[in-house]
Amino acid sequence: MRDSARVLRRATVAANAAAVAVFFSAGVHAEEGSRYRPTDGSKTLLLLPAALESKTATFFEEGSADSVARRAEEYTDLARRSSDARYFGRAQALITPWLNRPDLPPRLLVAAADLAQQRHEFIHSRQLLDRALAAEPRNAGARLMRANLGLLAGDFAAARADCLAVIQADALPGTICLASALTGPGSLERAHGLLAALDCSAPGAAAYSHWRVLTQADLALRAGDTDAAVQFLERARTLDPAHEETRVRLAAALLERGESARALALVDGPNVSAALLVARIRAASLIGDAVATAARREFDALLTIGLRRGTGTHFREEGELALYVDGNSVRALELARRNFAAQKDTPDLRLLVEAAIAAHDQAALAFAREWLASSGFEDRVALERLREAGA
Amino acid sequence: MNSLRHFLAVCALWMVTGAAAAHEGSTSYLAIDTRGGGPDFAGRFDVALIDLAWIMPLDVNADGALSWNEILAQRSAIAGTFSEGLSFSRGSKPCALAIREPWLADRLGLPYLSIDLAAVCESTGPIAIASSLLFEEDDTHRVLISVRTPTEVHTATLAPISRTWTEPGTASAWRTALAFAWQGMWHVWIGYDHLIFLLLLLLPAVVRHDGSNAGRGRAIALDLARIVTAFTVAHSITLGLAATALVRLPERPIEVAIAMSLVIGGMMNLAPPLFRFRLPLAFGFGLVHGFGFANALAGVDTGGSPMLPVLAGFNIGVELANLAVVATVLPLLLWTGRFAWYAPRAMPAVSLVAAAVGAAWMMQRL
Repeated sequence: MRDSARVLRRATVAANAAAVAVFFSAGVHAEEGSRYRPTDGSKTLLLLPAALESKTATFFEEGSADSVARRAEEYTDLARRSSDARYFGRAQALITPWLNRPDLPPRLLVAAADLAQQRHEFIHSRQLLDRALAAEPRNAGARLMRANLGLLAGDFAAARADCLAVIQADALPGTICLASALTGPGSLERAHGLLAALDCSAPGAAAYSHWRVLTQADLALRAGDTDAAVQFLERARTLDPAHEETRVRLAAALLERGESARALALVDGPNVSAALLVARIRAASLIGDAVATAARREFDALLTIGLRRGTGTHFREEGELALYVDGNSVRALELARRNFAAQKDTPDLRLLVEAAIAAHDQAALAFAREWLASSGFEDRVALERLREAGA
Repeated sequence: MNSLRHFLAVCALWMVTGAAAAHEGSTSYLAIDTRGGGPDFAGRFDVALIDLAWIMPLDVNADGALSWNEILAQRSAIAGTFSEGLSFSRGSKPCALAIREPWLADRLGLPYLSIDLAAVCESTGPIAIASSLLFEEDDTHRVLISVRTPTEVHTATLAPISRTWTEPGTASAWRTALAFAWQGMWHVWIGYDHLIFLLLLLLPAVVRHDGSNAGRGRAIALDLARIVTAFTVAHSITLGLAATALVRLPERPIEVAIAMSLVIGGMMNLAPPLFRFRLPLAFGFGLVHGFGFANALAGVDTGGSPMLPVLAGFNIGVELANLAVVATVLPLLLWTGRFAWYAPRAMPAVSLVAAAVGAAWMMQRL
């Protein structure tokens, strides 16, 4: 029974890789959950690319920790490529039965840490990575993942230590990692120098181009050079047109330059995600486009479902909506605080600062100022905004 | 090679943690309706085609595309999968499940297979639902359950770690109303703009239209009763309309209009001849404040309670809080209103401050 189930599953695994929903051509089904029966039964409802089965079937052996880890990695990568969280769930479902066993191989621990990080379980993720690195100190993937956790937590010294360890294994990713972890006055220029000096013609360098350009865009934004940031983000978009975060960040930078129509075109489309929807609502609201109402409805539905599922935390997106669209600075600040407690990336800091300014909240302004001073994180725009607000 | 794979994975993860969890994962929807009476009940189960294709072969011709004809060809197998994976019981006795012809539905941009269910049960009593579909294959899978009974709507979520749900004992409508009455009072207490507007309506009650101080007694009580009733009726109307989704307005213009009500209310208190317009002012801006309360109510988890006791309780809470404000402020007004400085100085000063606060909020919310 189990074998036959596996055979069935294998036969359809291919059906799910980066699946693309094709809307049935019979008409518009605007109301959420409204039902219909197609008049033409031969029309395609869903495209089922067949990439995964051939890649995984050759090595997958149930009962082997290594093959479970490998398959979980495949699904995790697929989830990222397709922006479809169900593949994270499929990876986790493979790993879960193994997690209580002693002496797990580092590869499985790292795969589990990756999934925990995805679910925003940062402490659990770090514990898994610590276990992996205790068993295999030279595991560069685990180091890099832990460095990212350090950055999100604002622990830049720990992140730098991990990045430096990565450099010893592979200079390119280690250097990009280090560029994000530099702090103190002039760190933006030093980081920019590090990235500019990278040998982009080295073998394998192309794989890191998108990440490098995204990092350069972040540095430019923090230096207050929005035009340069837009250029980097446009390049990143060329390198990976489907990358959602690139589209969202480029849209935000375009909005900053007042190019609402371009921003809207960038984030318009059928893909439903909180970040894309909020970017769409912001851009459409600014130009009075009716898309804003539909996108708002979709976003509300997404939040409702997320709340009912018990998996929805979109503090950043909700905060941006409250601040930039609803004009509810008090709610925006509350959300920005909760978001910043979990993650401290540039957009998280910007949201906190702007919400604190809008709400005239001196305590929040002082907190942001103090965090910038104590962490050494260099964001000249945020600092200038705080100065203007008298913090 | 292993390291390289990890590098690439982390590259994708880098700086995107905030957005990476944006997609909610696999979700099925199960809606049950027990209002037909008797032990039997009907339902609807929606599962994403992409999830169904994960657990059973649907692409019959293996062309990598799924068509309606392929689904129809597999409908017996699909019904078998659902019968095996879903189970219902009532009063601790299992129900027989009949599965009808499938439909399609769109949910958040994905095509779903939607089927009607009929459960034939031996006894009445609490319904229990269990599902084993997809949980072994997908850790993100959730089944969002909605059970509509003659008196209320239960909502619940099945997850890999909690795959069954049993209908709880019926919550009394009175208890729900009482709980939401507290919510209504709380939202008046933390809604400074509402409190200030109410105060602005009360301030002129002890002043005559010619600007002189009014005497105490029946006239003041009647005047206040008319004003507070108009305000109450108005915001009850819009709260009801908005809470039942009959009318939906965006939050921002409502918040701006509420701030504006303070400006206009404050300015009107500076001109005694305008006092006669307090009734339409109370009614007009009462409508606006009702939408504000509806936004507050929207942020409260109703836990699937029926709308009537929720709305009634919340509204009663708001009214009780309004009356508490009137009861607290009125004696003070009656006392201060006896002094000659109240009508020409104190009331305009307080009104002006309130109007300024309203103007500041208005600018902030624009």
